Amino acid sequence: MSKASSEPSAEQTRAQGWAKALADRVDQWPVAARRVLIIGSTVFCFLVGLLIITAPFEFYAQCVFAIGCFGAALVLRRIPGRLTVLIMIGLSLTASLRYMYWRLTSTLDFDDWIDMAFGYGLVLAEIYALIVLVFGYLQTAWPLRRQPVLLKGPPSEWPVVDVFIPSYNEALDIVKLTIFAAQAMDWPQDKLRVHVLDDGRREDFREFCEQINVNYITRDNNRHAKAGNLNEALQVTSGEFVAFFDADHVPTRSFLQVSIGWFLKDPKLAMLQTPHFFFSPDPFEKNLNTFRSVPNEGELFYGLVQDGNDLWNATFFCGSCAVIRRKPLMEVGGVAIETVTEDAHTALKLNRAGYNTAYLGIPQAAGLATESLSRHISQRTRWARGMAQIFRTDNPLFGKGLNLGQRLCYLNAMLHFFYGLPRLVFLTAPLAYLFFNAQIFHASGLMIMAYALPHIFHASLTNSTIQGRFRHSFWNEVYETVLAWYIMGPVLMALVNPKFGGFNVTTKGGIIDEKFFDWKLARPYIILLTLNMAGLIYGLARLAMGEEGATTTLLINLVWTLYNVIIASAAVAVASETRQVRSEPRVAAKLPARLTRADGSVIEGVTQDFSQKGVGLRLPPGVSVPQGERVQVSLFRNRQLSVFPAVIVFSRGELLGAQFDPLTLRQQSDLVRLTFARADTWASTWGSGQVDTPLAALREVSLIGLHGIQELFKASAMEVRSMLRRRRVAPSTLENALDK
Amino acid sequence: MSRTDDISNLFSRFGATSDSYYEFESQFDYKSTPPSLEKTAVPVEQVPLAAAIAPVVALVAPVPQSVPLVVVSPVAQATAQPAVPSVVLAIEPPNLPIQAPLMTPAGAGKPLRNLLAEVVLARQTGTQSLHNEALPRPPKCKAHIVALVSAKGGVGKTTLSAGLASSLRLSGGKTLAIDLDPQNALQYHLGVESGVPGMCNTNQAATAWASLLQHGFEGVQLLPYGVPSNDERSALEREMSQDRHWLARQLDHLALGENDLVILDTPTGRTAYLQQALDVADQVLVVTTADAASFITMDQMDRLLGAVGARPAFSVCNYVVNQFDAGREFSRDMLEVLKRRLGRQLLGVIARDNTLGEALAYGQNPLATPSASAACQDMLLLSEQLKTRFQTPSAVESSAS
Repeated sequence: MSKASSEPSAEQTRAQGWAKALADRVDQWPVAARRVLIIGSTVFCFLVGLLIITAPFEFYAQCVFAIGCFGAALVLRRIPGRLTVLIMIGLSLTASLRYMYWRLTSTLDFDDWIDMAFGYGLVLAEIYALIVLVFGYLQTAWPLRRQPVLLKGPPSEWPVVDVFIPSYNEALDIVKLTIFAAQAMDWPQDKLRVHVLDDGRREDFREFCEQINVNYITRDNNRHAKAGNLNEALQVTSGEFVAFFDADHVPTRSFLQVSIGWFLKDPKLAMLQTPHFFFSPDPFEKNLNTFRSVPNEGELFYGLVQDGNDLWNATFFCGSCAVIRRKPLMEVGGVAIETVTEDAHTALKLNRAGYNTAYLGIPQAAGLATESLSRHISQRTRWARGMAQIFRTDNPLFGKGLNLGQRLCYLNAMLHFFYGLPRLVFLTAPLAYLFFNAQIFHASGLMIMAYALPHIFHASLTNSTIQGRFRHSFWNEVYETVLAWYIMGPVLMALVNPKFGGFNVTTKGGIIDEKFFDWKLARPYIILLTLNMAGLIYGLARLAMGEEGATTTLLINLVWTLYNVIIASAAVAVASETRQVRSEPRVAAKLPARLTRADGSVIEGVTQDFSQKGVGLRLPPGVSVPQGERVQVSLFRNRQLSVFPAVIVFSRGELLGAQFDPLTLRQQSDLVRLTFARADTWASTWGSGQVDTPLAALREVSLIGLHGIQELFKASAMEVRSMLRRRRVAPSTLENALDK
Repeated sequence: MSRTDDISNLFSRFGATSDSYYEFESQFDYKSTPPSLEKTAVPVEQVPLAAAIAPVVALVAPVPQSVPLVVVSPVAQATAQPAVPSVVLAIEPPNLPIQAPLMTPAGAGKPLRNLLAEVVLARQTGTQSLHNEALPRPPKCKAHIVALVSAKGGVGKTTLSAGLASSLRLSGGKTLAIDLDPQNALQYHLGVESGVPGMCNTNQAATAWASLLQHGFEGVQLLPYGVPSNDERSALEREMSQDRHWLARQLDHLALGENDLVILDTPTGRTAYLQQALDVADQVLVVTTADAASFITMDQMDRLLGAVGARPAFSVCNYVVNQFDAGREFSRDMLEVLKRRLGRQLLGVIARDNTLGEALAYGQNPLATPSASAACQDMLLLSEQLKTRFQTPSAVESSAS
């Protein structure tokens, strides 16, 4: 984006200069006059907006108005800059609010109770979507893009930092990475205290920590899960700052020097969050093969939402990759334990207590994504439940200490997780008409198009412009559809009774032995897909029979259903789990490396990827090393060089795979320093993804949907075949017994 | 080879420089090591000799990084004295540079010796210039002439000469390698059969040089030193000592064009051959290694190069660090010392590499296999740098000594 903003057109700079001059002049006015101006202009805008939103148009006038607005948006979109985004938001809000006003005033004239049930259900879902849309605009219209403040004083004046690495059931092999990297952060050794908080109380952890000289903390109970674990450790440590890393989030060596600066600049700053970056694909990326090509689910949040929150001083704590100042944290009673999303709740409490929170959009740590869909779903479900709990027990709209921006940002974060039910409503609404002929929209088809299409198109276009690099159009629908069914229950449950349910840990770093289709998880999407398919066919049949006067309405509902089919089939595709062969995920990175062969000759190469256990290398063209040869791999960072003994386990032309011999602790530490802890690896791939174009995204989602349907058929065929085979073989009682 | 700095990469993303960043190369005490110890002594395996030396150096200097000059001074006593014939050093196997300080443990007081050397040098050049007034200096050779020199033996001058000779060529010109070293080793590095006659066998018939040229790797033309009888050798050396511009005259006879290149391999230390080479070279490359033994000979080299009338005014002097072993912390520190001392005069660093020795053994051109080894890469890079320098004469000024 820096590129875009560094080359504004001449007109824009002139406009900016003019605006600035105006702002400067207004700044010189007395306070009262300024306040009058602000209130006056707000009231004026409000009245004009009200007029525009409520002005009744007949069909053609509405069409002309809508086409005019949309054309303007299409032109504006090509001009980079923040002002463009604001105008586009204005246009989008106009279209959406006009639609909603018209919807509420002229389409709810229902005839019977079926229409009423479906109709009001849909309206409520639409109101929810509109609220989230408006709050979303508020949140993301002006990302702060905070830059790091570098440390000025000499290292002797730097504060003491405790590093907490809580772990419960993660494997030592994974946590080791984090511990080594935390230890190797560039910070004075006597001021960096690494603590491993082991709630699993495992012997190998204790031994390892002792060997490498980091503090090992346990407690005699597991109350309040992770939050309790952290609080316990807060009691026995004393550093001025605490850096939190989940057991599988590996910090870079520059983490502290990049993130501590702001705390020294802003004494009221209590928490600074950096993005969660994942070096392994999440289940969506893995099963749909979109790793690094389509932004993942989390990228929108860290790329844009948190940055937008930062403007309103409402950055959330996300539990990991963050630094918190100890004093304020202790003031609010440590990490919050009332809800299962202790992190966001803690940030809310800090904000309520009058402290600032900040977000720094530079990935300074990277971790493992959840590796199977079921775990992904259970993690998101926990988040959703936790947010619903906060909504119930500590609603950000009420209570002391927050400004309006903070209230709305927190509120939207919570509302966002209520999408389960509305999403299902949207996915089934057209079926009500197609199957039951329910008139959920009491308006003519053309009027619906004239009002609803601008609303939808403007919202898509504006969001695509704002989110382009961090989320592609229509993917949000796919993500939500996958989770909707699973998230709906726990959220509603938590709304009713916030105390219900426990804390589930997300386990990571496993292997999926073979490709399989997760029938159980896919069931809701398969049902949705089947219903929509049936609706589509039935609707087409009705269309073919030529019903009197219903063609437009039928067409609208058919297009809607087709869209739902695409989204639902893409969701089905996600349930087809691909194999994950390596248990240590590899990180693709091109670093200089040197290979010393068994005979002492030296070859310069470039790494292709690395993991804890090995490295992939590309040698100069024409050079190769046979499989099985013992070699030494040297890796560099600046002047530093470390040598690791290895065996070539794979060799094809210039491409080599080298597997390290068992390494000593020192070598393991060096390896982490030279690979995972490099400062620039994660930042260089951050936000550099392909920018969204809605049509390309629609095509991509459609293709994935087709693939999903294909996978579904394949899996069904397999299932049928194995069922037939089972029937042919005489059913043995033992097998039946095992089935139960 | 660019080893990108991860911190400056990161900092440039938000428009800051990495200057304000502190690196902490913290060393942690790791108590025990897992059972996988059998393969740990990696660096030692790789360079057994160097590793064996390391403790000695460490003993002498416990803090090598902070005060590098102090580090080397105790070892300095062990340096090769000027009196030691350069031939002795040159016979050493090229891969064992660090042996030098061990082999001659005792040494004379350095300051006096150096002062004396200075006086002697001044006297000699003075008398020579007097002597040479009779014979007019031939016009400056049109070709670019690169002389590889060093004050200490075994640093890889000949290997580097061969590498440059086979890789450096200006478009439309030829490259000529001249072996001024009685060791007569350059021909083997360039793949020329043994036993061919060289410059010392010419009976001072200057015109005969053109007929003595041999064809080496990559079409390079080689003038070997040859295998002289004692008489031939002393005759040659006498002639050189009498005529300060002897080599210039010989080159003049070859009628080289401005796109031609001459690479001069010289024997170690201050010899008549070196003086001849310095007299004609427009590019002097001092080859050194990142160790104490080379470092302490540096002053000596400086004096040699800086002596009045030793070099023509257009001559440029640069340093090349050869046989660099990035795996040893000590080597890296030494390189840093050299960098500080030499500044921009340091033109290139060439990695230590066994493939070069192997290629010599099998009579192969190490640079012919496509970029297989680190040293070859470095050498090609150096050759590329020189090439651009020769093609754009204006660039020379910036790095002139």
